[in-house]
Amino acid sequence: MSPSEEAKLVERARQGDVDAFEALIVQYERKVYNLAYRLTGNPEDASDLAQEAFVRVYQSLGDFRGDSSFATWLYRIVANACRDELRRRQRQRTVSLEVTVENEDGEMVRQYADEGEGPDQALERVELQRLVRETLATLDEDHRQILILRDFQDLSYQDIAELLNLSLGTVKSRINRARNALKEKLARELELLQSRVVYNSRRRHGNEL
Amino acid sequence: MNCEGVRERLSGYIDGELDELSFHQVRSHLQRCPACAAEEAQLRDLVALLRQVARETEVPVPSDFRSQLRSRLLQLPPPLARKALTPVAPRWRRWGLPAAAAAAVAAGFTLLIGPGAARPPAGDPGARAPVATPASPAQGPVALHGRSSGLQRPWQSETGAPGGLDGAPGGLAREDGSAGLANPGQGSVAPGSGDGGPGAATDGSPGQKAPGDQPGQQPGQPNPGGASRPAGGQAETGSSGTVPVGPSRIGDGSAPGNGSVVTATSGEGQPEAGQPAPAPLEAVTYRTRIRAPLGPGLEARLAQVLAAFPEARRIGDPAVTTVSDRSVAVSYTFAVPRGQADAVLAALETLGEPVQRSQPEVLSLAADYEAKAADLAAKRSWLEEKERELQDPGLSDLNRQSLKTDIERVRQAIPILEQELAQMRQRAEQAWIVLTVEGPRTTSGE
Repeated sequence: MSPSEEAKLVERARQGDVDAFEALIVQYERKVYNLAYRLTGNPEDASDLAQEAFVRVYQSLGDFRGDSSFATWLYRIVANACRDELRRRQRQRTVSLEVTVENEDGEMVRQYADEGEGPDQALERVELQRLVRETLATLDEDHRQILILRDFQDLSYQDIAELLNLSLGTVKSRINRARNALKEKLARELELLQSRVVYNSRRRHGNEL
Repeated sequence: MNCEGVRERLSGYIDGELDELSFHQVRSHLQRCPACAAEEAQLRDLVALLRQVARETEVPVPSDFRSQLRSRLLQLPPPLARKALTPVAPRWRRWGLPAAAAAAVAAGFTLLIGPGAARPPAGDPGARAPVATPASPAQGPVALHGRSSGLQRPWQSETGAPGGLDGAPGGLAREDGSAGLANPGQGSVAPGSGDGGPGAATDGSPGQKAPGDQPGQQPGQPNPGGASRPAGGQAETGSSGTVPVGPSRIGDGSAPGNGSVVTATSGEGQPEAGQPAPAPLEAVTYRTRIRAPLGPGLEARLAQVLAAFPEARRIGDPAVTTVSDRSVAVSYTFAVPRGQADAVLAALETLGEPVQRSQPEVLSLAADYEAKAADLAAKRSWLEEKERELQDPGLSDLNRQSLKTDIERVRQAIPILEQELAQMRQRAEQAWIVLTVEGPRTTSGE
C-alpha cells in the first residue's frame, strides 16, 4: 500500500468508515492475532485481546499524525494493549507464554506438513518443533517471554522494552542470556532427538519391509 | 573488545541492534577470533530455528474475527469525534464518548476473566449481557445498598473536602433509580474513561452515553459498590468549574489539580517532570517547506545542521509523498526545545530554497491534561479506599472477588494514565518542526 493510499484510508477511517479501517489493518491481523495467541495461550482470549487492541487503534486514529509510519504507530498501541494484559496476567500469576499450538487430535501435523515432504521429514520437523517448544518451556519465565517476543513475534528491542517496561540495555542482555540458556539446553536435547528420530525411522521402515 | 564483551553483544549483533561503534568492534573481533565466530554461527542457527518454528506454529486468524471486530467498531463513535483537543466542545461531551468506549473495553476484560465467560469476544453488548447476567441481578442491588453506605464514610472523613463529596452521594442516589446509569460510572474503571458516568448523569443526558456499551457492561459489573466511588470522582471531574473541589481531592491523590495543572506537574515526582520552568501545556508544531535535491546528500546536510542543536531529535521516519510525476516530497519531523524552535527552523531553511513557512499550530493540551490528571487522582484515591474495604472481614466471597477484579482493573489503568500525562508534559516542553523537502524525483537515488 502506498503512503498516499494509506493516508486516504486513515482519513476515511477517522470519519468512522469501518471498511477503510479494515482495509488498513488487514495486513496486521495475523501478526497481532498471533501475538495475542502467544500471550494468552488460547484462542478465545487471543481473539478478545486482539480485538481489544484493534479497537484501541481505531479509537486512537484521531491522534495519528503521520509522524511515524502507520505500522509503527499501530504496533505501539497493540503493544500497549498486550502489555496491560500481560501485567494483569503476571499479577494473577497465570501468565502463559507457552506456544501450544496443535489440537488434541494432532491436526497441526497435517496442517503444516509440506506436500513434497515425506513422512519422516514431517515427523522430524514436528519432533523438532515440539522439542524447541518443550525446551523453551523449561526456561525461566523472563527468558521464555523475551524469546517469544523477539524470535517468535519478531519485535524490535525497542518494542520489547516498551512492552515489558524494561530498559533497552536490559532487553539486550536478557535476550542474549536467554538465547544462550536455550542453546545449551537445546544442544543436549538435540542429541537425544537425533537418536530418537533415527530409531523411529528405522522402526517404521522396518515395518514396511 | 575481548571475547567476553563480544559474547555479551552477539545477540544484539545478529539482530542489528548494536550501536555503530559496538557493531564494528564485534565485527572486527569475529574476523580474527574463530571461537567467537563459531559461537556466532551457533547463535544464528538457533535464531533461524526459532523463526522456523515460529512460522510453522503460526495460527490462522479465526474466520469470525473480523465480523466480530466489525460489530464492535460499528458501535463506536467515529475516531475524530473523540479527539479531545477541540476546545469548543463541553468536556462531558468530549470525554463521555471515549469513556463509554473504554467501558466496553473494561467489559471485554471482565469477560476474559469472568467464570465461563471465555466465549464470544462480545463486541455486541447484546451478546455479552447474557454471559455475565447470572451473577449480577441477585447480588447487585443488595451489595449496592449495603456497600455504598459503608463506603461513603471513610471517604468523607479522609478527604476532608466536603465539596468533593457532593458528587458521590448524588451518584449513589441515582444509582438506586437507575442502576444502568450509575454503573457506567464504572467506566472510570477502564483506562482514560474518568468522566463518562457523571458526564451523563450530571448533564441529564444519559442518551449520550454510547447506548450499546452500558447495558452490556452493567451486568458485567457485579460490584456496584465499585461504582459509587468512581461516580463521585467523576462527578467532580465533570464539574471542574468548582475549583475547590478538584484540587483539594486531587491533592490527596498526589496528582496535578485542575486549577494549577502546570505547577502541580512538577510536584508529581515524575522523572519527566524535572523541568523547573514548565512550559504552557500546549502542543506547538511549526511547518516549513523548502525545495532541495533529495537523497543521501540531503541527509548528510541535515545531520550537519542539526549538529548545532544537540537537543533536537528526529521523530519517526521520514514520510514520502508524491507531489507530481516529476517531484517527490519528504517530510521530517523534529522535536526541539521550544525556545530553540525559531533558530532550528531558520537553520533548516538554509538547506534549500524556502517555499513556504506556515503559521505555527498551537493546540492546548490543558483540558486534556486536566481531565486525565483528575481521573488519575480519582483512581488513586478510589484504590486506596477499595483496598481498605477489602480488609473488611464481613465482605462476602463473591463481593470480595468482584472487588478484587475492579481493583485490578483500576490499577492497570493508572500506569497508562501516568504515562500519558508524562508524554503530554514532554510534548509541551518541545516544539515540533515538520520540514518538508521537495525535490526532483530522479535525484532521490543519488
